[in-house]
This record gives sequence, C-alpha cells and structure tokens, in this order.
Amino acid sequence: MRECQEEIKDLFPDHVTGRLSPSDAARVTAHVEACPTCAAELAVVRAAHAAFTSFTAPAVDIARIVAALPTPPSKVIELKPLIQRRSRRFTSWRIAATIATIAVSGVSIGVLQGVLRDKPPAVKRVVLKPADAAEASGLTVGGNLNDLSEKEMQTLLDKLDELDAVPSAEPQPAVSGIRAAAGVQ
Amino acid sequence: MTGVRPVRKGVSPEPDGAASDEAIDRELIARWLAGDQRAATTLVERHATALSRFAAAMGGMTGSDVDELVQDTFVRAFNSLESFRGESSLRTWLFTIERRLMLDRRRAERRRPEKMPVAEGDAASEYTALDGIVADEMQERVRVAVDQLTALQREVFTLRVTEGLSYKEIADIVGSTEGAARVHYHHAMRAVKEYLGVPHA
Repeated sequence: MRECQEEIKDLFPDHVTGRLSPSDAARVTAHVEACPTCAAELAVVRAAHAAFTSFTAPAVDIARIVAALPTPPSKVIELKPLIQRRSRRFTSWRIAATIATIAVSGVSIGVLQGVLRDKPPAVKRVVLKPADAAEASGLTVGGNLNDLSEKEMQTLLDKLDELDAVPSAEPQPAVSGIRAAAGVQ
Repeated sequence: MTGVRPVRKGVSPEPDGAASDEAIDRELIARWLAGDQRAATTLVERHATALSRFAAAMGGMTGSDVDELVQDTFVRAFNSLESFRGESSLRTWLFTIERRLMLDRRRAERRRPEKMPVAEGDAASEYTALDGIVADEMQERVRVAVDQLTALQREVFTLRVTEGLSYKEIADIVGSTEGAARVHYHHAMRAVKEYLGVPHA
C-alpha cells in the first residue's frame, strides 16, 4: 500500500478538481477507504480547494480591462488579401486588354488585307512636266545644268538667293522691340 | 494555435471539459484576431477571476493592486496573442505572465528607497489568505497554514490544489522543472499537514 501512496496522492488535486477519468476516480476512492493516512491528506486537499475557490477574490473591472486592450490585428490580416485581390484584378484587366487589342488588331489587319485584295488602291499619280514645275517654282530649269547658259545660270542663282529663308540678322530682343515700337529708348 | 497539451499520468486526456475549455479559448482567440472585440470581453470574463484569486492568494496586495495587476496581465497577453502557439492552455499562459509581473513588482518594491507609511485603511484593504473568511474551520486553518509557506511553495500548492494544474504546467509557470514542482508541492503539503496536526506517513 505504501508503494502506491505517492502516485495516488498525486492524483488528489485532480480528483477534487474533477479532472480524473471515472476509472482513476474509482481507484482513488477505493484506496482512501482502505488507507486512513491518504484519507486524511485527501481531506486536507479538499479543504484547501474549497477554501481557495470559495474565497472571494478582489473584484476586477472587466469593462476597464477590455477598454485597455490593444486593437485586434484584423486590419493587418485583412489588408493582405485585399491587396492581393486588387493585384489580381489589375492583372486580369491587363490580360483582358492585351487580348482585346490583339484581337482588334488582327481583325483590322484581316479586313484591311481583304479590302486591298479586292480593290487595288486608287493612287493618283501626278506627273509634273518640266514646264509645270518651272511655272510652280518660278524657275526655269532645263534637263541638265550644264546646258544652261551663263546668263540662265546667274538668273537661277539670283532666284535661289531670293528663296533663302535664313534671316540675315539675329532677331531683336522682344522688350527692346516693343520699346522701339512704342518709341521709348 | 496548434499545440498539444501534455497528457498527465493517471489523468484522462479530456477530463471534464478541460479540453473543451481550451477549445473555446482557441476559438475566442481566433475570433479576436479576426477583429471580433466581443471575443476579448468573453476571454477576460473567463479568466479574470482565476487571475485575481491567484494574485490575492499570494498576499501582500490591496484590491486595487490586484485589479491593476490583472489588467496589466491581460494587456500584456493580448499584445502578444498572435504569437501564442497554444502549447499550454491559455490560463497557464496567463498565470505565467501574471506571476512575472508580480515578481517584477516585488523587485521594484524592494528597490524603492523608502516606503510610504501605510494608512490604516490601506492595511485593512490588503488581501491576505485570511480575507473572505470561510465558514468551515478546517478551511480557515488550511488558509492560515498556506500563509506560512514560502512564496514558491504557496504558488505551487495554490496552482495545484485550486486550479488543478499539472506539475508540468506549474513548472512552466514558475520557471522550474516538473520534478522540482512535484517536490515543492509535497514539501508544501507536509508543512500544511504539520500545521494542522494531520499525521503523515
């Protein structure tokens, strides 16, 4: 009986707090019925348990404690899937837009090729005659510059000088131009 | 949250709702982490009394000291609730935090150069094991006997007998080994029995 006492005694707190399985509880009960020493210790454990659990603990302010608690980290937890969802949505839109662009481009090319195959482009070729060109530019240029006489060459150079678009002098500053226009020195 | 609670020798793995209590705590923690503030209220309601009782049983604190200590325990616990892995029960974890805070305060008290004079009203409001006197004489005598124990013996004895914690859980709380917790308990029990005049083998 003495050999099993320590093991049995270790179960007393579990017995009084109702944590033992029914079979272990029955084993404890059977043992203390036959062992006055263990019965006395079990009585002490029972009294101690009753004394401390019936003890009126200082009241605590539950509402104040809860108000002092930190905010749940739910925002952090929720943000991650939100960002992922947004990212996925954005990616989906990009994929859809790319597919749509490719499809529209393909259709356009197909249609264009069909049109071109059916109807050759009506390109109006304008062939300017030398006489027309001379009339348009005011210059009379023959087929070859070597054929021009000295006088004709000089006339052509003079005409080219008149066509020089580069101003011969730098532009006046805007302010001084305005002052000049207003007659102010 | 997926920890396995150690099974005690001779104790049913799921004794009388202890496992379901832990499951409820885990569910409430998950709800709070998901943003449910009401879950916090329920968690505080479930454990505040045990924490208050344990703090008062250790003695040397006024009612407002205990209230403040319990609040600090919950604030500390909730600040790191995301890292709670559930390897022990939530209550064991809370006791561990509360005990550390108590030790910190005792050390701070010792470092304090001079103590303020204690008014009569304060002395009267200080909780000791004699407060809340129980009707049964045996219970009252047990409480006085527990007051005679060392601080560590009192912690181990109270956690074992009042809360029904295992030696492993107690060892986790007091920062000791399972074997040492068992020895402290038996020494405490011997001292209590001697005080009560109960014969021991």
